[in-house]
Amino acid sequence: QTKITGSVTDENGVPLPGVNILLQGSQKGTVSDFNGNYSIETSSQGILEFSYIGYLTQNVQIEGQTTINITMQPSLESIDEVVVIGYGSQKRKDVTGSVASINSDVLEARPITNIEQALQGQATGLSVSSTGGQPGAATKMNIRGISSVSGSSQPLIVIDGFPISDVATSGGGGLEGFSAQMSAFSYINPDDIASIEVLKDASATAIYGNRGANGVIMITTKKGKKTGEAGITYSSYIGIQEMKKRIDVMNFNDYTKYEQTTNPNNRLFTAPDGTPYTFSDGNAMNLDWQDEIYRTGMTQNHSISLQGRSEKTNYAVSASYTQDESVLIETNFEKLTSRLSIDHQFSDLLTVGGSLTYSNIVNEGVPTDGREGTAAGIVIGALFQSPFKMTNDTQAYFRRAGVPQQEIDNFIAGTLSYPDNVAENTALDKNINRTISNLYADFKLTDWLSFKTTFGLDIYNLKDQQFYSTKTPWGSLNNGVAVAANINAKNLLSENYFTFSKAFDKHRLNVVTGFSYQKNNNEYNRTEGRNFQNEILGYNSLQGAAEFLAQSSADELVMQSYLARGNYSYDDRYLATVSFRRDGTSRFINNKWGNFYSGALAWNVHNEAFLKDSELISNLKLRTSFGQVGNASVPVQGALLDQQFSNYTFNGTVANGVSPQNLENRDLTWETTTQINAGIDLGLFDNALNITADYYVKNTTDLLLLTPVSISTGFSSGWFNIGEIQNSGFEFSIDYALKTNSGFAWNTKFNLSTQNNEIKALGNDGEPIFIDVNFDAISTDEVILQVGGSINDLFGYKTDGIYLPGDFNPDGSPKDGVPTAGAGEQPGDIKYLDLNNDGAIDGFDRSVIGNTLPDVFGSWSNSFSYKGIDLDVVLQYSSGNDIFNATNTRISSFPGGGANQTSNWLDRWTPDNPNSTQYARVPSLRPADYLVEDGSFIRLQTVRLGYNLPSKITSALKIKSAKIYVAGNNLAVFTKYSGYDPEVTSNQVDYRYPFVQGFDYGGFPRATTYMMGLNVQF
Amino acid sequence: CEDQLDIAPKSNIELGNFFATTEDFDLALTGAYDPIAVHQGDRGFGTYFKGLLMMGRAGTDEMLVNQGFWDATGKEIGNYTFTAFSRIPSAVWQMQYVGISRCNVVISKIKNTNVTMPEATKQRILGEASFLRAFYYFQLARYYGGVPIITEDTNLNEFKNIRSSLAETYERIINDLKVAEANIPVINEPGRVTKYAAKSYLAKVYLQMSGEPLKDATAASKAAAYAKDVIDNGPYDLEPNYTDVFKLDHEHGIEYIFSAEYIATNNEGGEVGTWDGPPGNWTHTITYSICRAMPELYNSYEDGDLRRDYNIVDYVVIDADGNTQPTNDGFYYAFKWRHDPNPATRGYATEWQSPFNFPLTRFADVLLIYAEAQTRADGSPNSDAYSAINRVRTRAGLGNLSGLSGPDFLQTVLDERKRELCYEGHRWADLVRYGKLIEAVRASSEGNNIAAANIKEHHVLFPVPDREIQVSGGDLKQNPGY
Repeated sequence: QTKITGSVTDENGVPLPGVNILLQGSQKGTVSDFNGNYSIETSSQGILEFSYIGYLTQNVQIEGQTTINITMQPSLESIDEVVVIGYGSQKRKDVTGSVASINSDVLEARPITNIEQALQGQATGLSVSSTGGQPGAATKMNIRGISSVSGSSQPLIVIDGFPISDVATSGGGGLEGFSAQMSAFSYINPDDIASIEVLKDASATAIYGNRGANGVIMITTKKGKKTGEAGITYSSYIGIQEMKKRIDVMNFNDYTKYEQTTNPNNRLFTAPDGTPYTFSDGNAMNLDWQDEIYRTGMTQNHSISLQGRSEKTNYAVSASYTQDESVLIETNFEKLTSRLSIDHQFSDLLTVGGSLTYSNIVNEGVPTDGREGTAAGIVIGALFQSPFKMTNDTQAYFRRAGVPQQEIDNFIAGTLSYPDNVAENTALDKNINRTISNLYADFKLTDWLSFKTTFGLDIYNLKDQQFYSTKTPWGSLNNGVAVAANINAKNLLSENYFTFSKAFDKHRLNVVTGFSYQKNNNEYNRTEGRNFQNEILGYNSLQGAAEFLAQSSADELVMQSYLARGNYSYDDRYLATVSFRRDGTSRFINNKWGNFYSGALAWNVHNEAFLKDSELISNLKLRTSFGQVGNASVPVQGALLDQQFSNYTFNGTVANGVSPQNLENRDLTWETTTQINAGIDLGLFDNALNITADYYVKNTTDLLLLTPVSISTGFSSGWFNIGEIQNSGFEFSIDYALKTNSGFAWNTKFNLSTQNNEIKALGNDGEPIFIDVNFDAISTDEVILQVGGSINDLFGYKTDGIYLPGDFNPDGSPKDGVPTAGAGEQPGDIKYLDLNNDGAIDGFDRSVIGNTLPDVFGSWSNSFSYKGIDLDVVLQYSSGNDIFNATNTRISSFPGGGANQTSNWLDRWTPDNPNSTQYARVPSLRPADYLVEDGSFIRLQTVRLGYNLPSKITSALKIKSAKIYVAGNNLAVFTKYSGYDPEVTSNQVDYRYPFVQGFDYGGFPRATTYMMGLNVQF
Repeated sequence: CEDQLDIAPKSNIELGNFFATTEDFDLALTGAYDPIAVHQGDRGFGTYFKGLLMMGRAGTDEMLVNQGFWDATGKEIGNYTFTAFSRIPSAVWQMQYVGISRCNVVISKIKNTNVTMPEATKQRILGEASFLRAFYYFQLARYYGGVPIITEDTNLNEFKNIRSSLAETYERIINDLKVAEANIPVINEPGRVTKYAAKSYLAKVYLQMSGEPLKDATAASKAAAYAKDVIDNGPYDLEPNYTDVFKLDHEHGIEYIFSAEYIATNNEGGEVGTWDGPPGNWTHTITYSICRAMPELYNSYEDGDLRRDYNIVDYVVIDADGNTQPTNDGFYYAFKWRHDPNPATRGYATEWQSPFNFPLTRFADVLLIYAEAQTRADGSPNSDAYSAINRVRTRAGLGNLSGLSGPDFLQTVLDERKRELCYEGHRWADLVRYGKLIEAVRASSEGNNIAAANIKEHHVLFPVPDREIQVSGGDLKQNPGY
């Protein structure tokens, strides 16, 4: 007999109490104590087995040792892991659908300011792309492709069973509509999250019916873990941010040459008689405006949480503060969250609980995306602003070159549009308050039957205030503009369901059936004031304005659903799920109700006799599912004839008019997505190596589509159930956990997803639908939806090099057979391809010129640990996605106005530089292939090096554990894309629409963040 | 509990309960005027807010679109590079049909209404809606040729998008204008159409029918008769001073007969005057200088013509007192509508709050219509025709005409129309009616060599939106050449 002692710690070196320690093949066992220590009397030979839920079981040969210290490693894809599904949870081994899980280890390994960052690349089939680097900016997410053209393709987000409704984060008006929207995840403190599940196939999402059509992201918050124990966690990070990339625009000398060559009427550079002024040492006055608007940003986060558990009560309390002063001047984002969650077992019969989450976001922004002239955002403004600042010194400098003061003064009148000036004198302030509360009562009626009733209330308030001082171009036009908008939303949800759960013999059955009711109320109002006598008080004193414009609106939406789901398993080998949901919505008139079914089968092959003893295969599951979900994403009044005010003027005053705004369609009904999924889960070597692969095909029929109709009706489009889209894709993930006896561990996880979509049918006659993404310089459609094409197809002209002198007659007119767009083309100008060979460049020469959907995307994450030190490295990649670089229409078309351009102009074709292929001008701006760039990238998303303080120090400090780390986010991007970042989405059109992915028009670029942080557990 | 899903809209008006009062009819009628002038969103590309300040004006020998302007939308019109995909011709087509559909609703409802109202009110509503429908169809006929005709009797479910002939389209317009003429009072609220405005339009439409491409042999004499009725019996006259015509406080005076109405507010303001004008001093001019005058227009004025130096300038206003400074760039700037140079007294600050109405017809137009129509009808001008054109010339400080042959007189009227009515949206249609558009644009290469090089025979009509042809499944035919 030997006495073996030792301590058990988790992967962070924190003592792990309650670990089961068993001498294999005997009844001898013990558990580790509160400090993680144990002792056991045993023989000097044999194997000790250490097991603990959520951790990999470890077997250690005793071989005469008397001290055995063990570091437990968490099981990444443990088959015993509990997976949260709609209206309940299941063990991973019982899941029949396609569900990806992201547990808190992953979340904790990536120091994140928002949850989307954590999700990015972590779940196959989930595409997450940033809409820019603005703090709190919304993210375009889609699960398994875009199955709806008209509405949002954002998945449903469910927190602890309570769906979070989509809310508007912009009050509109002013230039604000072109700034990024805010993410629904902003309201959550990432530190509160215990796990995230992504429900992908129809069998998994069907239970959410209409709201689950785009997939579901289920978030489970942290709860008290162990009875009798309370823990406090404090975490904090502070970081700095940088924008390293600069776009190469011309400097002063080059710009002077550009103006003198292309714009000889610019009297700042050329005298009225046509003589160019000569500037000595021009670059002394040079200014790269990008350096003026980008700064070193700062971000910090502090979060404290307490979780505890007594015999009957489980509670969690948390609060957090986040600040993000981004790299763009005059921006600041601050967020406060607090959360209280409690579950109490009132009696054997009744458990009650609830949670209350409050968040407050204060965002001070600047106009980024934007339009022409007075409305240009500062990101694009910093690129095309003349590369100098007209200070007193600069004026003297121009005067020395011979420029009359009059011309300098004329120029100064236009300097309000200096980007730093716009940023300083424009206020775009949002203040958001959101309170989400929910309560439940769970009646355990018998051993096998329970009833749960839940009630949730989500109160949302947005105050959106803007001020454009007379020192800005926009404000100067209007003598000051102030906008004060409010959105109030109330979302009420009641769900009531029975859960029947019984096991008899080898059969296990779980049935959920219930009723759900949801009501949304939205109210909106906005007041805009112009013409301020005194603008000091800005939007806080609208009464200072002389002119007002007011708007308000309200709507209400009700959804009702009946739902039922059955899960059956036989002998842990054969699994089946069927579900049914009947959904009703007030959005439709004659066809409010839709019925949706799904079914799934799975086979746990590893539980069959022939594999049960396999040392190689520890998990093998085959899954298949089929199901339907409905989607009702049309505007609240989509089916109704909407009559709105359409005023005119009589006798010098406004007369109210009323006119129909749309076509009525009383028969509008549910869009249906039918999805087939087949998947395999494979675990080898005790699940040290796991592989999951899925293939799916999604068919969306009765597509809700704003379909073009003959304009002669007086309307250009109407809502119809017309069209069909097919999405398909393959998803693969592999993870491997390596542990050595030396304490070194390596976990690696690689995943990839493919997505394809094809439009199968559209409209009555299948005619294509064109979408104008609204870049001002291009007043035509950039996107085509057509049968056989993809939703993400870019549409436009192909280029055919440049015009050369041989293309023109001596009088400058194009030779016969040389097609032009009639824009006065000259040698060196960009040449569009005359696709239909009719001798003219016109709309018939357009074709598909790109596709913004990646062929494959995913991530590769690695985590190394050794004796309290750990290193996490996360790479993300995307391949085959095109980007429409609309920014280049403004900074690389060389139109010859007083706007700076990229340095490409210097290499342009000229008679003296006849071998150049760089166009000298784009005389007729059109969407064309030269604007389409390959957006493939590999991003070094996260590197984090952490150190767990040894227990000697932590016990001296009387803390449970402490970890310090340094980390970098977005450290490097490897891409051919010429813009700031390949992952940017313009806000010209509602960001949720599928086709705006991959459009770059002066969006808020992403920064690189370096941070250090601390996690302490008491 | 399924009743819970029936929710009445809160922020819009259901059609079911509408047209229950006289006020409802007036609301809907006002909505039918709106597509003349509306500017919200992209709709302005199809109205006198934006698109119709290009179509009809630019691409002629009086006006061009500044080549340096970044936006291709207007340049396409001025340079004859527009296609069936271009925004402005597509939006203009669309907005006319938006207007037509609103008129159709009003006409159908007023004809069958049970609402008790004075007969005069009912007549006025029917008459105004009929005028507006004719107005919108006339825009279509001039710019696109014969178009699909939809009236209140058309069943939209069975509707085939097939073009009527140009003659049928004009017949529809005349019928509606006659209903308008018969039902609208002589005096109406300023801004609304009047009986004599309807007669003026009858003259205008008949005149257009008499020339290219329809060449209706009986139309000219009808045009002359209606114009004469307006001249002799209508409540309109010439302003004594040419420059007063375009001033804000004369907009509902004696000369403007029917206009696209704007006032200086955010939603009901226009861009009349803003698109034109000299560059260089936004504060005191608020002008974009997108639409510029042609040197050919400047050179067409006789010496001593008071209108020339008002309509075309080479200076920019530089202060609140209206002092000016030469632009010295060699360009000619259109400056017919002048914003108050003093921002403090102007009362509006933005380019889209311009309060200037855009005159669609005014008394000088009717005088010149008469002179032309009578000559077209009779082969040579009579004394009334001379007197009509001489009234216009006298105000301009010019001497009287006399003794011209019929063809010479017609050419003189065309030239006089340009000098008098420049930038008012008549020139393009005038040149088409005379069959001289292509010749005139080609002859104006000093002002716009790009347009001169690009214009082709088919440009006497604008293209039907390609989208519309696609949606029709090929039923709708494109104009030749596009």
